[in-house]
Amino acid sequence: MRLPQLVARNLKRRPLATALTTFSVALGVGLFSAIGALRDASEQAFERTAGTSNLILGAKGSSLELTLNSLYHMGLSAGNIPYSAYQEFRETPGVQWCVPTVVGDAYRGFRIVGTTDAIFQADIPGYGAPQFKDGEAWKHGPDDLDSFHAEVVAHAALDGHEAEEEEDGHEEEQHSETVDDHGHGHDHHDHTLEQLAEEQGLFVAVIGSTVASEARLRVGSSFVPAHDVMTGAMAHEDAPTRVVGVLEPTGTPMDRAIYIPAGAFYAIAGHQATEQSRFGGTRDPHGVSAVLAFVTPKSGYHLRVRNAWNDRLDVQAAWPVLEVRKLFAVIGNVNAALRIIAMLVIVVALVGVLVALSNTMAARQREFAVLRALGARRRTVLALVVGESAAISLLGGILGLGLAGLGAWIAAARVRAETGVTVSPLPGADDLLFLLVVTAVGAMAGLVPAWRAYRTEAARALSSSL
Amino acid sequence: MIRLQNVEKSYRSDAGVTPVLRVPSFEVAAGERVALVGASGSGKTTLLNLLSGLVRADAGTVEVAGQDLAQLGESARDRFRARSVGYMFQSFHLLDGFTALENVELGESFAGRKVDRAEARTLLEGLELGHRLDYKPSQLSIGQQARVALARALAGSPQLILADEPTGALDGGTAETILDLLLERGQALGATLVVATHDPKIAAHFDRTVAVEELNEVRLASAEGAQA
Repeated sequence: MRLPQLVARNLKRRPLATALTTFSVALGVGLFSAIGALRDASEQAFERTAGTSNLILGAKGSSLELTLNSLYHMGLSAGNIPYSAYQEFRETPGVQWCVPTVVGDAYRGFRIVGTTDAIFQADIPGYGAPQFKDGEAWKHGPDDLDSFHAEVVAHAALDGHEAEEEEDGHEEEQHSETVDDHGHGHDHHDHTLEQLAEEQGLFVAVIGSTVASEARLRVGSSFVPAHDVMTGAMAHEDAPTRVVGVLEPTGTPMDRAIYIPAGAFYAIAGHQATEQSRFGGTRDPHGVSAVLAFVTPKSGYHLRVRNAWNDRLDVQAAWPVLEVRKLFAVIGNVNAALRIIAMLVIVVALVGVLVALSNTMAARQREFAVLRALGARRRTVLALVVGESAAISLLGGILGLGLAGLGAWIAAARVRAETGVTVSPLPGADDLLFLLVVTAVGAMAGLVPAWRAYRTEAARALSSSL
Repeated sequence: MIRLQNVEKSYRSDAGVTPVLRVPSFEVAAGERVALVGASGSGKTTLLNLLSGLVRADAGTVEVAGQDLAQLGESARDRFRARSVGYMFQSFHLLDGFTALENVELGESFAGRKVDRAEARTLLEGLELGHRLDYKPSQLSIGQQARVALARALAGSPQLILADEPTGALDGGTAETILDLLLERGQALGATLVVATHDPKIAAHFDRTVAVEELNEVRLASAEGAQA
């Protein structure tokens, strides 16, 4: 009978103690590993998404907020930047790809993003351009948007002019326009823009895979956007939108987005703010929420473009990867604290193994003496106890990694549901190394009781256990 | 096979050094079956421990199978014991978590060679325990436990079989049976057999009986002291 068999037999002899100590190690290892795995996987997944666009233009304010809102569809938009900024930016040397985004609407909690058809040429790192599971992309290029936007601006100017006339002539009359909490106006020219959008076939959408499955939409389905991303209140009943394409899963927040032509967004009643709206003056009411771009990293363009645009007073330029890293640097402190706690749980668990084995030493003196009488060397007896401690640590570690995988998988589903970011919970090389470390430390913890076993005087123990 | 010359053994404790054994001379021929008789505390077990190499003599020669155990280090004595000695204890000392078959396998697990499971099985079957191979000691009767302990002592075909009161825990009929098996199987192996017992009836079965009180000068001295 070999040493591993002896170890296995001895552990089996004490099923409750073995199970409890193994489980306590598993809890610590699982906690430690899950925290690390989730953080690493989340960071990688966030950075992958951030790699789609290496520069974002948006309103001055928090660059992290801008990144989270425009790329990950989290939080609220900080405001608009001038449409002209988008036009100017796309002509900037070094800009390889860029799309404007206008946001503020949602359907069943899924953000609606008004943009151009260039969004479907986005290059997702490790994935490529989004693929269509069903249907196809709508057509609405930058030039189409420019034309439509010009109409929007013209309508707004006419509205403003008429409003001034009405105010001059009928000062006591209440203004016919109502302005909602978001500064969007409703006026009697809406239908004209809507008609224009209808004529151009702009009330169409391409939806992400998660939207399709969770909102039960498919090609040919229609839905009514709502004007509040948080509550879904204020449905745009006048702008039923038809799904024309469903994307394959990309493992990015695209899976949770609904893409419509930006022209349609401007045409929807309530989105044509006038010069009198509260966004008038300092911010372009017909602007865009953000511009997602990929600027060539060659020849320093990436840095130069960012610096040049950051110098402007009406726009900020952010590097998404940098923002995500800053975010994870903040999370990292919490993560480190959690890992220290998990480490303490492991230490306590290994002390538990030590105590559990130590408590059996007195009762096992006869066993060790018999083994010695049968020819086992002292170091064999020592190895037996160390092996038991190491085996409990190894089993606990493996179980812990299993639990961590399960936990990370459950959490990954939540992260994906919240952000569309796919997190892989599979253990990596680091986890296997960690398993070896825990096993080695467990073996060392076993040295304490093993020393007592080593010192067993067989002749004395046998004569006293008659 | 066994030759002891001027052997001395003392035990040290907080109270001081206590001499327990002093044997000027003792010899056993190869294949001989010897009973060591004596009262409790006469030094029987210490003598067996010296012969197995479990303890080392403080002085003298303890030659067993051509090796002077008094000159060997602990590891070498362990190896010698694993390869050349079979040991049967009074209360058998079977390991609880192991089956009968595994307990027998343990008898040759430390000899540095591959454990012969078929041999262990044959030994148990020969002792009429073929139907109890996978039973744990607690599931066996005391007589069956004695047979397993005997099989373990025989495993690996040792040159020397030592037994310390092997029938001490058994009733008369079972004791006779186990003793017969021990003598018979030991002889079949050609092993030298040294058994410690306090029972003259048991000792009568052996080729030679040695009174440890007469062999051990420490006991002689203390007996003379008591008489004086």
